[in-house]
Amino acid sequence: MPEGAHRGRGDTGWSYLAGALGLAALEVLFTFWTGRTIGITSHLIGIPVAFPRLAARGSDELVLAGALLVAGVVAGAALGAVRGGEWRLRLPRRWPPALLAGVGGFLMGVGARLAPGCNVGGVLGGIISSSLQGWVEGVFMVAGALAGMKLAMAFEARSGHALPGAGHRRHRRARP
Amino acid sequence: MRYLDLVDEVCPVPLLRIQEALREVPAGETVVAHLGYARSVRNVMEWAEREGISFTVKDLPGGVWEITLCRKPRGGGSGGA
Amino acid sequence: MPGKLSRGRGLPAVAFVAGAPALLLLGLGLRVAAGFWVCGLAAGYVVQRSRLCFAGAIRDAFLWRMPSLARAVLVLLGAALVGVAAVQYFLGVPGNVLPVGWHTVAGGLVFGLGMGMAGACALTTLVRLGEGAVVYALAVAGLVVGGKLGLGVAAWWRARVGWGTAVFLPDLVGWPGAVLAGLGALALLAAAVELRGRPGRGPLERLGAGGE
Repeated sequence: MPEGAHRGRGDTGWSYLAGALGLAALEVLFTFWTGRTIGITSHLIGIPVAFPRLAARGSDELVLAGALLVAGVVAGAALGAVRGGEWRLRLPRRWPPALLAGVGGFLMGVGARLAPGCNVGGVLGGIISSSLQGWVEGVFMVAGALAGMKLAMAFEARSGHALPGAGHRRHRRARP
Repeated sequence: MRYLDLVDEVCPVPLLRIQEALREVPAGETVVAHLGYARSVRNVMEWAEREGISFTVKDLPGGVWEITLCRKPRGGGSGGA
Repeated sequence: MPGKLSRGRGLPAVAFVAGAPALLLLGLGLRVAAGFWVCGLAAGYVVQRSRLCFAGAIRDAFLWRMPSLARAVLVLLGAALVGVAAVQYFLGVPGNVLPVGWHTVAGGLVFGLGMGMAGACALTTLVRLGEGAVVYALAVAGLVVGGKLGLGVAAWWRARVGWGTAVFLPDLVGWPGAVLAGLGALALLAAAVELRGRPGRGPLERLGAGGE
């Protein structure tokens, strides 16, 4: 039997299920308040999204609100990490993940404008809004993701362990 | 004992490296890895449990987890390491 | 570095940093901005604490036959579907009903490709960044650059290829029908994921794990 450190999970966090229900509740509340589900990429590039249930707001406030939503996610995650005692500056020690992150982000940015919508706004938001677009984007997103993952893994395998300065341990950690 | 410092690796690298190490290491020998993301820890734990590989997890301060895995040798001595 | 931020000790300071902007915005009369900030905080917190990951759900289920994350995502979809449908039905709230067309296929594929390469989706990228993973700042930069470029690509597509129209499922199959169909599809996916999660050949043999 696995000897996890905490509740069989190995960490002090929530269960996946708790997160799922929490996020679902948040989506429903947000939709009730604004008239649309939560979206990320549109706010990242400063599009003033009009929310049907928010009586006509100036586009300035909408852009600000969007930026704060995005910043809030980052801050909330930081809060969560601090709460769990896991916050740490994590610097990449190799270049392949950095390249993959940059290119991957770029592709996500482009795809999100075509679909239109990212995985949260388009797929999750679309499916829960009973919109066909969400399902269609979802199916192809999964297909694309599998291809992307295979690509990333092949790329990692090729670039070897690409450890610059392997053997340097900047952090003191308990070595068994 | 094989040690892997995977502290700043993001998914799926930790699992891939651990799988690789367990393949290379003879049965009965342990692989110890330091991971930096709880998500990766859960990932590896779930995989190891499915594969019947025994493991223990230590939650260290500062967002580091230490996981020790050991593939049990097959009984009966069929084929040597 | 472990230290002052280990095991929740910096929490009051961080909570203040999180809450103060909300109060400031409310003071300025920017209710919507304050609300969005709080929603973002909540979303980031929940996803970070629960380790939810959409990319991980796909990867684990398909590549390694591990269904736990996918299961959670499907529960998220099902629960939220019911909730949003109720809000749509009883309160006439529209929700996110976007145009669907070939651009959706292309967009989904390209977005998915990026997601698979980066190892994280739009939401998870932000969460990892919040946890201190500086490398994802590159992903965010990519998202912004790609997004701006994407506006142009979408505009081109719209002008040269055409754009779809929104298809709201309850318009097609009525209200109970649309929700039931949605839940049914999710249930099918859940079944597929569970089936795929049955221990099978492959990794077991390769590693020669004990026990049969």
